[in-house]
Amino acid sequence: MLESLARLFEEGGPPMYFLLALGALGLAATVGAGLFALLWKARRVALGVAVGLVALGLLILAVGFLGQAWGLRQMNAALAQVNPEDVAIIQMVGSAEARAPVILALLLCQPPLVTGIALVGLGWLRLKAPAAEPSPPAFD
Amino acid sequence: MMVVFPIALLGLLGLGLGGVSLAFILGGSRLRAFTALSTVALAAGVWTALVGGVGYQAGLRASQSAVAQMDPGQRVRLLAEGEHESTVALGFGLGVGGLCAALGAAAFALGISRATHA
Repeated sequence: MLESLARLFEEGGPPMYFLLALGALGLAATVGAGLFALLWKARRVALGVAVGLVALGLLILAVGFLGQAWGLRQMNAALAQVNPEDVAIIQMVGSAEARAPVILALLLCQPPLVTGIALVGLGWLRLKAPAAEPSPPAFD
Repeated sequence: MMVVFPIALLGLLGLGLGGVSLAFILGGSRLRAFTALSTVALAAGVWTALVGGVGYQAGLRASQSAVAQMDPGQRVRLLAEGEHESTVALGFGLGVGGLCAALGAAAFALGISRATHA
């Protein structure tokens, strides 16, 4: 398991470091925001934190897809300089390796995204029901 | 194909939570609590779809890596088989996850609407 994760990380290239940093931030934010939403009494802030978690999860996902695009671009640039007989094999291995950032992003975005969506409901539940607006004064 | 089990489990969780939330919201009892619970069903649906996405990408990556070392005659057939299996995982994840997410979102929207007008 660890070996295959290490291989995945190695194949993904530079975007993996960025993804790992974002993923660590996402995990820390998930634990912190979860505790904050459960224990803190500031209701509107809890809802904002939940939406922030969702945004962080989507950002991780977007970085993963950008990493894949970067990997495919690198592969296509390399294809111009290789023996035409090897093009098919390099294309296959290259596109397999370019999937590594998406796989890591799909794994790392789960904690903040799923927790954030679930916490939106909790945040909404804690919001007070809106008070009825006072009716405007009648003009004679 | 290993992802089928977590997808099925998460899907059952999401469908159960979404169904119960929707039933209670339609019944009109504990409106706010079940509206909040419906977002958990929505989250389970998104999670299911993400697991399906992981299965699809990992399956395609594995088959592409494996067939690169085979002779060209076998390559096309095995790649097509790998792509078919990965697409099944994606379709199952997106289908079940989409159903849970739709149920959760519908319950949430209905709950908010009823709680606002209660």
